[in-house]
Amino acid sequence: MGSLLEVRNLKTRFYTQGREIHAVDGVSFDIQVGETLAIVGESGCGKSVTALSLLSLIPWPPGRIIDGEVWFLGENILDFDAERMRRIRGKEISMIFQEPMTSLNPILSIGRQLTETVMAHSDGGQRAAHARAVEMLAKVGIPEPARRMTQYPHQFSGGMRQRVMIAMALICSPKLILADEPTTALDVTIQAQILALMKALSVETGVSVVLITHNLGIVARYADRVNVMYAGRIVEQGVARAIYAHPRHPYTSGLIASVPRMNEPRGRQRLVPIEGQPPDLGALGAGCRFYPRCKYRREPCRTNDPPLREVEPGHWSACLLTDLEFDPAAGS
Amino acid sequence: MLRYVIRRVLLMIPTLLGVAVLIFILMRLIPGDIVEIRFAGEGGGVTEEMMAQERSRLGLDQSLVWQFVHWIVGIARFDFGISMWTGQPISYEIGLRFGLSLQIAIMATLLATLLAIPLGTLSALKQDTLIDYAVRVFSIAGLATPSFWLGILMILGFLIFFQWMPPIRYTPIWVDPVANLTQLIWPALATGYRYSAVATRMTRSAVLEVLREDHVRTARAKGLRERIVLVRHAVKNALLPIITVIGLEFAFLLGGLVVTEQVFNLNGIGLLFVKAVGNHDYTMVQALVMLVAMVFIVTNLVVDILYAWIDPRVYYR
Ligand SMILES: Nc1ncnc2c1ncn2[C@@H]1O[C@H](COP(=O)(O)OP(=O)(O)OP(=O)(O)O)[C@@H](O)[C@H]1O
Ligand SMILES: [Mg+2]
Repeated sequence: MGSLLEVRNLKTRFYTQGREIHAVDGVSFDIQVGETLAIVGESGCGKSVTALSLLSLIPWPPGRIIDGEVWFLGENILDFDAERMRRIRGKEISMIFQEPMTSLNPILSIGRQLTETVMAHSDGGQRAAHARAVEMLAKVGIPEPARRMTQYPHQFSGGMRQRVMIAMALICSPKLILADEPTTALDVTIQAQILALMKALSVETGVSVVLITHNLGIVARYADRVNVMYAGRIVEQGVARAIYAHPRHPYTSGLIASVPRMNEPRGRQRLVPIEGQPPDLGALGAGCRFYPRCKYRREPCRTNDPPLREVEPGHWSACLLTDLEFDPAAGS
Repeated sequence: MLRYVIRRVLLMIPTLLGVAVLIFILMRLIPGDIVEIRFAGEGGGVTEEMMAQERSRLGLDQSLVWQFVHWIVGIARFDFGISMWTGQPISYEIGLRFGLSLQIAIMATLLATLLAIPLGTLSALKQDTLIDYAVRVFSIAGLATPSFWLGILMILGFLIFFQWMPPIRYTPIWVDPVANLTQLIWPALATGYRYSAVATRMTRSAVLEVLREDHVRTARAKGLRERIVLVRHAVKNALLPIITVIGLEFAFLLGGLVVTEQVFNLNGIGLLFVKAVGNHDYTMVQALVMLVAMVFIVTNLVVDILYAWIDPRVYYR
């Protein structure tokens, strides 16, 4: 296994109402071939902006990538001109969005929306594109794919539309899929079906997946590794199971305490939400960004913003506390 | 769809009947009648007797109900009757002018559409840049400039700089297209400019709105070429509100070009309308109102059909 994509010190900012929002503020991570990497964090911490930045899809105005590199197959794709970037999008790296209801064009047939993707990246004709589209619809579990091709998004349920989105994302056999909360808008049973489908397809095709979510239950089940994001930064990074079992950053531990555990009976669980609000990304101070909400905070945390530090092989945390000082059980 | 159209066409009948009742009553409510106006110039020499005779010749001495029924029955047979003022058949009077007015309305609509959709889209794409400001100034100027005033400027310009005036005689386009266009292109431009300004602003805001929608981001994320994203995924979706505006303006143009027709010395429907109202020409005004109502209803139907054609979510039964 090698790195498919390397993100280095990515910084994306938005300029609105005279303010500078540090939406993504120095993020670095790798994606290995064939793995599923989760990005988790509270709403507004910069997950979507990170994913959109990888494909240079940040709308200007108001947003701009001001620094960083995205290395893909030996090239920094942030340096690409518009046409080269276009040829990456949908072909090498594709994206699935959160809202299946609005992410498809309501007035174009499903078939058209699938075939136009193929045609944008190949010289093959309409007929080949059509055959490929039918094949993909069948693959994502849509019954009667040939007939469904002529239908429009409003004739599909939310789960079916998300299947269409997955078919669209996979239709050009990309190497990486960025899935931005692909199941958040769906009800629970459909969620599980869609995630299982994505898992199966990633195993079958060897495609790498970035799975953005704020649901830690999903992380534990479907991801190999995880980036925990807080206020535009990655605060903890490592193997999903290890982090779930033994978080090394107070924010991660707070996140875990705030979601129900699948393997414990509901009645006995005590859910502890993290107190307070994330900081204003337009007015960040000098210290640790989690300081105001942290149960383990110390005096140095107020002024020092700790970098990611390898706490055990393959497990990184941006916290000054060492393992001895930080005991999740002690705090609660 | 066909059933829907048939139902809409049938629904036109009660609507038009309502319009007929309304205009019939309104005309009778205006003080004075056509006979008084006709004889007004003749001073004291007119006797009550002469007036009564004229009224009975025009059928005005009959009961209102009888007059109304007589008129409606005629319309039902596509017979609009005789103009009370000129004595000519109304269908003849309208036929003389309808071609001209319709042609101006169509040309102005084409001009406005061809101008508004690219300009509005460009303006939306280049939001808050110099190009956008230029387009917005152009369209605000259009909104602020009355068509007849622009028409006066045109004619003055031709006279002063070229010692030339557009021809006054109307030639149907199938007789001599060049003569026809040299006469009618100017009023079409004068009205089309204002019209395009309305449509450009509509296009700009509609495209801006669509560009913010999620599916446009999806289209870009799929790696579609920017031109395809724009045409297929933004402008096409923005067409619905634009079509509505264009349809309304078109219907308005067919009856509402009074002053512009006067400026360009055109013998059109608008002028006929004003004269008929001034003369209390009951039958003529009634016929023209029915005609305009008909145009509005048909335009609306066409807009609705276009809606269904563009947007598959719209389905009529
Ligand atoms: N178009 C934009 N204009 C201005 N600010 C933006 C824009 N898009 C994102 N931001 C800012 O960037 C920050 C990160 O947003 P982002 O959408 O990445 O959050 P997220 O982690 O995906 O949250 P969620 O779970 O709600 O999707 C937010 O604080 C938001 O205010
Ligand atoms: Mg998001």
